Amino acid sequence: MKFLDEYRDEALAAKLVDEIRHVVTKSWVLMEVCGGQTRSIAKYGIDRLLPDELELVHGPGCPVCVRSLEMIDKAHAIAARSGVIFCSFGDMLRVPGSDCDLLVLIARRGCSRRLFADRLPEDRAGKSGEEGCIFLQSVSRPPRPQMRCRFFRPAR
Amino acid sequence: MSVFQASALTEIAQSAKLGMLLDEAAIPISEEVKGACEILGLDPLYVANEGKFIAIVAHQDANRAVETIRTHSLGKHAAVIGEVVDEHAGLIMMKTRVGGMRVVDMLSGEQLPRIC
Repeated sequence: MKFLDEYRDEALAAKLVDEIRHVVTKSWVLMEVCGGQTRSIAKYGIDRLLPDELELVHGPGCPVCVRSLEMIDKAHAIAARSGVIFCSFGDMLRVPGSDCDLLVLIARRGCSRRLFADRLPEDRAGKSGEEGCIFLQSVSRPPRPQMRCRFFRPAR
Repeated sequence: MSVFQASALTEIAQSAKLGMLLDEAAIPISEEVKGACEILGLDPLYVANEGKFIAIVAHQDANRAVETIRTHSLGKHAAVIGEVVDEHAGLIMMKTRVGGMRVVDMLSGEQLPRIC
């Protein structure tokens, strides 16, 4: 299939693995930073193709990948309450909590006006009268990735 | 044979205590499914797939079984996708498209689509 098979070329992969074996002359430890990369390594069995001298360490993951389930569940509990205007960028919409994800919550509430995605919370707060809004945010800020819920009041 | 659900095959391997070795490149998956799964980040081996047929037959009968099934309009994509092996009893291994090896296990919970 065009645009897929070019990236699943076994002969090309074997050639690259040979080149890696050729240049690996001592032990190396490599860490991939993204959960998507970890998934691809496992899905295609790339770790088993590499020489033994090359050790892969999985982590640390972006704030979306390493989010705590408890934090997601708390955010979902807030988002599920009627009257709450809940904002999130698209990266958090499909992250599953214990029960569901934010996309399902949008469907369950049946009122998309109250649950916004991909909107700047400052803009929403300014348009929502006295209510303000809750903004769920994943943050890549040292020393560790964070998730937080912030409350925005409308400008007075 | 034919497109399958990985979980169904894993159930067979575990209950019969058989080791299996699959060849990912041999598994017939339509381009529409491949494309959709690539965009969404889903593994087609774990997508609900009703009406598909898995048969485990003696090695010497495999090609004849496939040819027979292919004579039916609903079986024209039938294929030998792997074999039962003596190693790793109860476990399914799969040679991936790029030549690697991976474990094909039971799906735990729901598939997580692509996030980033």
